[in-house]
Amino acid sequence: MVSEISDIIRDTRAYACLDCGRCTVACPISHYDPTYSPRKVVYNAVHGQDTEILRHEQLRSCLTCAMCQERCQSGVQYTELIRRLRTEAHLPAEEGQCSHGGALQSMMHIMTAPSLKQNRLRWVTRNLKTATASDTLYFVGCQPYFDVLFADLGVKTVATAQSAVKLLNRLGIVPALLPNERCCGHDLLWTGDTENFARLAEHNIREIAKTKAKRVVTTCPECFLTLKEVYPHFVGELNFEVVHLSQLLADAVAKGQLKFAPLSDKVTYHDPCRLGRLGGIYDAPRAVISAIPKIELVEMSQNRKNALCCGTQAWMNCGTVNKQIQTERLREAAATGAGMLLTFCPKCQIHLKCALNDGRLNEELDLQIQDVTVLAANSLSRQEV
Amino acid sequence: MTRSKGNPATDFQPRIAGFVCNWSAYSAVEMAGASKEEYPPNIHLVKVACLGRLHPGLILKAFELGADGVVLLGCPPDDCHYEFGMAQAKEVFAQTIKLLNLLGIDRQRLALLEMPLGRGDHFSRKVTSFTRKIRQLGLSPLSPAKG
Repeated sequence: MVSEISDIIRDTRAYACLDCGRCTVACPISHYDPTYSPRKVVYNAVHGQDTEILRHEQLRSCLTCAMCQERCQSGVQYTELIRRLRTEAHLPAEEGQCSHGGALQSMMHIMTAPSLKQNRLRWVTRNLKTATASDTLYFVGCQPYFDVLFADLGVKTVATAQSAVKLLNRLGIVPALLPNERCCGHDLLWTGDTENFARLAEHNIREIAKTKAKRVVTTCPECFLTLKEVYPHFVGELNFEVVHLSQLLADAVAKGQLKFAPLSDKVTYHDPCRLGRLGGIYDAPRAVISAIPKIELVEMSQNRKNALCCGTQAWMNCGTVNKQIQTERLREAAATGAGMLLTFCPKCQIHLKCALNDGRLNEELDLQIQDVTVLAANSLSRQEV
Repeated sequence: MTRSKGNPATDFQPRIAGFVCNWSAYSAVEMAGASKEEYPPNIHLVKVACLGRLHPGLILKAFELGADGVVLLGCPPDDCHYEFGMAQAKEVFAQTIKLLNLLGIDRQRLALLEMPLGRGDHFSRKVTSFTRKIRQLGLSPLSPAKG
């Protein structure tokens, strides 16, 4: 155990910590829960309290939003430290209490069953052109499941999938879809369950190979980051490119291939952590939004690399602290004067909608939450370019 | 428990999880025992304070752990100890059916049954017929034996 922890400390540069506490100042959890401190987690890991740290429930508190490592002057990779420590701490029979009754964890585990045959493509309406094999594959993610689980919040992430295909079709792309796509495994990875994560990854890679796709497009930033950055470590080099839809759309906008009808709305954009801080994509979503004539894009005070997290991660935890972070984000969005809060992540949408529907916040804030994909598809000009 | 892949109608011993409400439904289970009603030994009961306490997560967990069928034993709505419990259970049931459809798990593997107060005969009859149905459906696609 000790040697494994020391490997983690070395690999994530935790040893380089100067104990300055910038991470704790930046951490949204620490802001509302003074007992949580990334600085202390690093300190304890480095100073030999290894086994204790693995059993500490605060190991589960981290949002892995990467705000701390953005500020760290020593280059400590805190999110990777947390992920690796969680992997060490993971015991199959000892899963912690998860939010939503553990339904999402169960669905991910169920999806590791090899003989499962899902019915996940019922959202594909007749007006959408899709194929079984194509150069471009659209990796849908868990959106059909989210809409069932979070119907009471008015979550419509399937609209994101439909909009994505509509946009791709407009660009002359008929994407392949996987009838038996599995969860990308992001949340299993970040809860430390690498064994089941690898099962999902291997399955998805096999299915993608069947379509002969050279490019995989995702709308979910978690799928994007996991396929692009993590799959190669588990299944070897990928023989396809992974792009986020925002990149593809921004490119098309720059080339004048995509035209939108005017919309006189004031909107603001919430950077998802997997797309922004961890994926480095800040400009593409903004370029897509700004391509809509007459739209006014205003920034929240915490934006781009300083963007506040949507408050929860990997369906591991949700409580007062998480709600306070979400509320802060919603108030920040409303303070810009925008009537619409845009994001590019189904989970940000779910978490922020949940907080907005909670208590009286909905009455106080006049705010709509929408995915950029849906806004872009709804704003498509009538004429083909 | 031995799990055979032979003739599904005869040899197959399904594993069935049953969530049972503490009130009318459980009284039916107790009465079945007291009056020595016969029913298949495949069902493993988990008592809950009210069926309205269920969440899709609990039901999916049973499937994840290899249950071939899951039965929810509740009370007639008019007899609900908490008034709203059975209505809530019906919502959870409907939501879980949608998730099972997406996952490709036959929806017949999940049933919601009302158990009138103290009716042991009703319990044994319903559980027998549910077990027969699961026997016909065979192993769950999530069963390790299907691997």
